[in-house]
Amino acid sequence: MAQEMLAFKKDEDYHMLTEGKMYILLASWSILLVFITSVWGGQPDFSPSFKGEEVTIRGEVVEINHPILVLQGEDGKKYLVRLGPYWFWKQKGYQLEPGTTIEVIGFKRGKFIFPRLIKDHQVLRLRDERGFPLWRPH
Amino acid sequence: MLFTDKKHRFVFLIALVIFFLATLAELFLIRTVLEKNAIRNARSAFIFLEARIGAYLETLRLLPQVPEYLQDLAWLTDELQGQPSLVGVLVKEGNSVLLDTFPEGFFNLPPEVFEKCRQGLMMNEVYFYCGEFESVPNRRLFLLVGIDLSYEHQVFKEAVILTLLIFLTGGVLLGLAFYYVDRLSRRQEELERRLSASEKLAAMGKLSAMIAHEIRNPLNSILMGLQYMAEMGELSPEVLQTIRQEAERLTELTGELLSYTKGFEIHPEPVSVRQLLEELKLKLLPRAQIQNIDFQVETVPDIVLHLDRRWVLRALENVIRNAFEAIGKDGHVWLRVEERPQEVVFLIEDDGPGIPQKDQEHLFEPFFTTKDSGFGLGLYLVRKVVEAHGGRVEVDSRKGRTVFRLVFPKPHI
Repeated sequence: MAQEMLAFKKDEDYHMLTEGKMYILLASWSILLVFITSVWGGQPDFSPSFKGEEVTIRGEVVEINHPILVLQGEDGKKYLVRLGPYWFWKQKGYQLEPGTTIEVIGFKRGKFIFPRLIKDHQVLRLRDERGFPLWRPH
Repeated sequence: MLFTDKKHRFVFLIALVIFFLATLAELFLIRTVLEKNAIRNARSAFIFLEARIGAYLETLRLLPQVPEYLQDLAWLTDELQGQPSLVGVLVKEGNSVLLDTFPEGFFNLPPEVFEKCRQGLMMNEVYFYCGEFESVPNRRLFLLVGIDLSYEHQVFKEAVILTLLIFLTGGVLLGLAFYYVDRLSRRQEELERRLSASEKLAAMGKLSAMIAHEIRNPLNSILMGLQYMAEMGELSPEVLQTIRQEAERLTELTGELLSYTKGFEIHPEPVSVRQLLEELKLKLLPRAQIQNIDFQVETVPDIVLHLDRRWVLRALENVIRNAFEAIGKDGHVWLRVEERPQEVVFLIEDDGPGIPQKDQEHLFEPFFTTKDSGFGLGLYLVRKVVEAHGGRVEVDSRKGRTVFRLVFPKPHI
């Protein structure tokens, strides 16, 4: 009788062990599946902070001929500021008049300044933190 | 405990592995399709930019007076950055950068991009593709485009989550299905055990009835004989003879019964087959005549075999009596002997109704019977006797013809 009970106990342990292994296997597979989601293109991120590239220019608006704004900088130089599409300005209700003193924060490419922010008495936002224009559809 | 049966557990694991592999294959397929779509988009964007930049430069060449700032390709930055699928565009002529719409600046791109972009390179959520083209005569430009793959990545992540849910649900359903199969199987085993126990009890009942029946008659004869002699006050040689015969019958019966449990102990001796057949004919012909059965025993050349005469006679008698019972009245039974090089075959053939196919496989099992009065031990005994002699029994039955072959090996000379 005792031997039978012992045999039964061993059998029970065997089943539990095998089932335990089975559940571990299932859990491992699930983790593996989740892991797959993160491996596609899993290389170091190359997107640096935009801020190091930014320029800040203060000056007076000389001329606005959308999409170009001519800015007379405090350093005496003239800058061409690319304003983006007119519809975007109209949609946002942005407006600038010649003679206004503004501060332009953005990046420079070729002969142009591409503004992220234009500050006068208000702040006009034209690009996101990374530098993509706000009129770009998501 | 989910599964008690090892076989069920093994099959379940195999099914789960196949299901998992199918899930992985599905994800691989989705990813491949998305990648191919990204590559196609990158090449389309490249072709579009070739055309756009080429057209812009052509326009600049054709117009007589162009403002200086329009001659700078950076003019296109706002337009190109407005395209949602483009992360950035770089146009170079020699070492001069004509256009760079990467917000962080192209110089921040890893060198690997420029080394591998001609074949196409996937990095993070951007696919880079580059090449050279001649937009206008004598102007060879290098063009690099970066395509945004965040949408494809999002689609893939959602596909993985969906697949994971399907896998988990499927796994649970599979587990439940196997659990119920396992439970049903256990239940069936339990029922089979109970049925087997019932069958054993029924068989025991039959056996007890048979033993009681076989013992009662000789015992009655013995008791009646003894009572007769007690009443007469003298010993009667006839009655004593009857008592002796009945006691011998009882001894024979107990020996037979013991043989079912111990196995047959045969004592082979040289036996003439012809004599065996004659003895059977003599014993069974009266019974055949009562039933109006034409019982024909073939005359054979004398063959001598090493057999246990008593058991073989009993086995042959059992088969012939079965044939008589199967026919009932008016029919034919043939007893023949066929000599082969290595064996001798006793053939018992009848033209009775035949044995149903479903019964044929159980014929030689103990306690299997289709008769109301039988115990189902007759053919079991036949098989045991023949096998004890190293032989075999064959049955061939159809409607109107049944043949039993009791095959005995010839003695080695």
